Amino acid sequence: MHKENLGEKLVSYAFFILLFIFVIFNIVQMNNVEKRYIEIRDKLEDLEKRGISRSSTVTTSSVSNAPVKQKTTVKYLHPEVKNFLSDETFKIRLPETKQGGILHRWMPADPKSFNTIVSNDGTLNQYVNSYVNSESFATRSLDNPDKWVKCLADRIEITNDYKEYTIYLKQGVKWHTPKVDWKSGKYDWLKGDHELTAKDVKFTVDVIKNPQVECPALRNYYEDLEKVEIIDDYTVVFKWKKKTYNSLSFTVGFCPIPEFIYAYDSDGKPFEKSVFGLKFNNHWYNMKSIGCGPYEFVSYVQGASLVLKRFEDYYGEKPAIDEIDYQIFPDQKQNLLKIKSRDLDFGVLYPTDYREEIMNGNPSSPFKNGEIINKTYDEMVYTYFGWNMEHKILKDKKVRWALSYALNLDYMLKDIFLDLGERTTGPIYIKSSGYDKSLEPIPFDLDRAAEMLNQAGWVDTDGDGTRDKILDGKKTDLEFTMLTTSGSPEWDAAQTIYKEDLQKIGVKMNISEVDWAVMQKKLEGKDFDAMGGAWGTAWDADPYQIWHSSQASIPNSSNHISYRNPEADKIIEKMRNTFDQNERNKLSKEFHRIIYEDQPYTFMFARKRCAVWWNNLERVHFMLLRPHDDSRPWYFSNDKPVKR
Amino acid sequence: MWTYITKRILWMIPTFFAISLIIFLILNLAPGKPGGTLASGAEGQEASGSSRESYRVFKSQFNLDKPVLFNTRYALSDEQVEKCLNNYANESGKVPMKEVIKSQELLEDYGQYSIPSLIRILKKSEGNQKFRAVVLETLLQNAQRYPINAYAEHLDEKTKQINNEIDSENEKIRTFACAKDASPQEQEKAAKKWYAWYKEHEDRFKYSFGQKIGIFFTDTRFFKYWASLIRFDFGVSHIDKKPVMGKILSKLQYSLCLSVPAVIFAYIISVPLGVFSAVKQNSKFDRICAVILFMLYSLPSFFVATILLYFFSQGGDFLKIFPTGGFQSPSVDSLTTWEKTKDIIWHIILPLICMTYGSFASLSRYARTGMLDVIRSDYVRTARAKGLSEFVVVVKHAMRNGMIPIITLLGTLLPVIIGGSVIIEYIFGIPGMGQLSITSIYNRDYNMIMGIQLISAILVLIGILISDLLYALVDPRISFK
Repeated sequence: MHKENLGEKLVSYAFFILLFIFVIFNIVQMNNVEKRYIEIRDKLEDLEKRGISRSSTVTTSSVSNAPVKQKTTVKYLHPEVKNFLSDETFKIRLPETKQGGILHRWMPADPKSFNTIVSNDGTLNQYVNSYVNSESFATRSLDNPDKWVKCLADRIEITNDYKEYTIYLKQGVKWHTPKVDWKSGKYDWLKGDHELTAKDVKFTVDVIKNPQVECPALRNYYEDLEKVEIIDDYTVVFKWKKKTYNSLSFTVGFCPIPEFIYAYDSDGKPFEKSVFGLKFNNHWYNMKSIGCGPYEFVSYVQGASLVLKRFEDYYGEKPAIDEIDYQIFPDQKQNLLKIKSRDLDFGVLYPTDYREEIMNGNPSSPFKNGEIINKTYDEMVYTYFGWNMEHKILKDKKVRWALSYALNLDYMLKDIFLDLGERTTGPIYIKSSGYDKSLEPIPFDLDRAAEMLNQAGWVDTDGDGTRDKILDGKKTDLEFTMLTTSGSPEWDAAQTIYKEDLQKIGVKMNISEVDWAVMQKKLEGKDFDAMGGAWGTAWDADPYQIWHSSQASIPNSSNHISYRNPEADKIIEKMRNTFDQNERNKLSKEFHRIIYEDQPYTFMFARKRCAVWWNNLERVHFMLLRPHDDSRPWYFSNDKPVKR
Repeated sequence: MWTYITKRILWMIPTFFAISLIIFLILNLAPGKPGGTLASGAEGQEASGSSRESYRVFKSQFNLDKPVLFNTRYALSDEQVEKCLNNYANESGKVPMKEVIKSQELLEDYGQYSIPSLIRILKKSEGNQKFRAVVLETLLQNAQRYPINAYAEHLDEKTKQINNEIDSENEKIRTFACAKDASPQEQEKAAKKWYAWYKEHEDRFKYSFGQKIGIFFTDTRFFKYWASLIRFDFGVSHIDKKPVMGKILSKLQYSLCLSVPAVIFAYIISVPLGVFSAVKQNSKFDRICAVILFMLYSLPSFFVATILLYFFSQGGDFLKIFPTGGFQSPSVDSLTTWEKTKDIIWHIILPLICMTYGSFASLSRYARTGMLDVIRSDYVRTARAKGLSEFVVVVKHAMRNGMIPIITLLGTLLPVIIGGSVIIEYIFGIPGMGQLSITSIYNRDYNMIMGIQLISAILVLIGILISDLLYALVDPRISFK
């Protein structure tokens, strides 16, 4: 009885041990098989890729010798007019650069949609669109942004007093191949090469003009566009109702989207006309990107990665780096760690990290021993405190000047923002030719501020430490609330210093920090006293949006502070009709002086960023225009960074 | 037993309905609005009707143009509409911008319901050129209808035909447009067209009693949401227009990979600790263990996470063992399943530590008290008296009863497992449920927030039921008869 039991037990134990061994064996075997499979798959893919690249080099070389597809000879409609575009002088690719390599970079947030028309997303524009699908007729030159250079168009003729633009597209510009599941056969209708033609341009205009499409800002710019005419496959004419400077930049900088994919549903059927706009907003290709830029979209995993690959059929100068891999995560500390562990080749440091690693870093760290290079560059962003011009206290110019004198910006710049910025005096980009350099930054002078408040009639009559004045028959304390969105520790520190300095001269400032959605609603409703923020400018920005008085009284405009100055209005309107660059610069400087005089904002800094990269990355060049860290001219010299 | 379960499940339905109503109300009353920059049309030029249109399309897609609970707009009075028009026109310039925007939104949201009033006001307002321009503009915008069922994958022929009719009527209406600064004569001409159009379609705006009841209850945000919820359709995200359920499921894998092992490890480590402390009550081990566990308990997880990253990650300064974050290596495509598993484990060790250590204290205390309750009872003494070894007494006899409270705790953990950890996921860059909920709150992505909240509400309900059932299962003294 006892023995039998023991035997049974032994048998079952043996069985379990055998089973265990089998499982282990199975796992090892499966692993090996899978390894082989992946090896073979990679080899096949490699072969395929090499096959494609070889064939593409053949076609490109044959294009340069004897074009496969006969190019149609272009007949100029207005041969007497000078070409508006010139050639780019900046070389993307130097002859000695080595091709290859994968650039690993950080992306802080997921893009909301890859559709450039529907989504106006800063992250997307900076990281993806500038490589994939922001090829426009012409761009501002990388060397001299006042000049427009050829991009998708070779020639643009401007006739009829800046109301008619004839655009001659480059021939043979190819759209990227869509990234769909080709094997399923569902997408056979997308097969073949697709060339950029006038049809795409017309289609894009129609999309923008469709009231159902979610692109209110963009549509506004093209409100005055009367019509677009197709002359032939490569020639289009833009006709505008009015002569404005905006219409120039929005015609010349027009960026078409491919009709062959966006006009159709996933089965290849064109959308019903009655629901086209709604379908376009929810288009099936919106979570992938397509264009005709130097890099093409490969894959995107939400919250993890986004991969771009060089487009071998790109019509222009191809960049040296093969692939750009973005890692997506929100935390800035992780960004720093990943730079240090070389998971990222290039990155931008936040001020706290900049202080820790570069200013006070330990000498053996890669930041200090030359393995990681750092450089600061200018960003097209200025920070400011804005004063609500309809507020009973702040509408007084003297008070605003006093508040500007009380802001200790030089100290903040040095000790809080760590010199990552430059004092600015107006809403114009500090590096552009329309910025008036003769205007002095306002110094920190509390005595002067107090005196100005005295002059304005603000004195502390009741001895409670806060100045007061009789306004509309009521005694009012000099007190207001600063509305900001919960920002960085630097911004918080700056506000606290300001608050304390103001207290010294008898001004009470309360700080109200809210999240962006709430702040936006308050700004639009003009339901605030003062606000702090940052604004991204452009090279040759139209001040109308923020500073024209007409924008002060309409709902949902950007003139949140209700700035009204007839003199400024006149200049803004004149600028909209001036095309000569020198004349424009003169007007812009005049406008700058008026804003400086009025102090509707207290301007703080033109922001700078600190970029860092491992030293095997060469020719890291920062652009004057956005995106500043455009990686097209960069290349890798070695596989590994060298210790210096 | 079965009647009890059925009763409980049936009770869940009204409970769930009440929960969803409360979440829905809170969400719709919270400050901020979805749509973000879409609403601020003006950039460089005046916000014209056509630029507002896309914001209205957005609102109608997500039913944001409808009242929250009850709809009484079938009985809109001329005064209500006129007040909004006056505020929106803002001829005196005295109306605060907040009111102007509110009136503008209201006018848009009234949509078709406001047409009869608008026509009457148009008739009345002859001579007041500026005000009339606003009336005409509003009329033009509100009279156009949206295509029906536009977001469906495939439309049948009948719907297509109706949509085409709507489209051609909209096109006709758009020809009634007249410029903002049009002269009174031009305005009158446009007004004549409107009167003719209204006469033709007057029936559309007359509601029978039945229709009114229908509108009162069904043409609301809450009803529309529930109508799709019944079909287990949580709608699409406001941000990328992808189905909410699909997005949640795709994020769930990351959160589950973290939270399931976290719960298992927490139990495996803290239950023996608790049992041991109970058996050796008031010994040195018991005291030291309590002190250490409470110290761990009081360390905030974001602090520990940052410390761990600095000391043990490859980007840190000391032991460069673990990755700096993320759920997988970027080169995951070229790995076999076994290597992938190893890769994931390598990545989640640090976050796992952060997620488990905090629950040691509470769980081991539960286990300890549970054990203490039974260890001195008579049947345990009997077991000892039988001459059984201490190990068998503790594990086989005492633990069965001592672990009742801790087993029932498992049920309440269900929503925690699904919910993910916002802070840990943020610091380690894991794209799980926690990150999804926080970004959707920032973006005011109502459908997404509702989806996440409702799913966790269901899980809480199920969790409570399970823990009640577990009571009965492990303790035969409790019955539900």
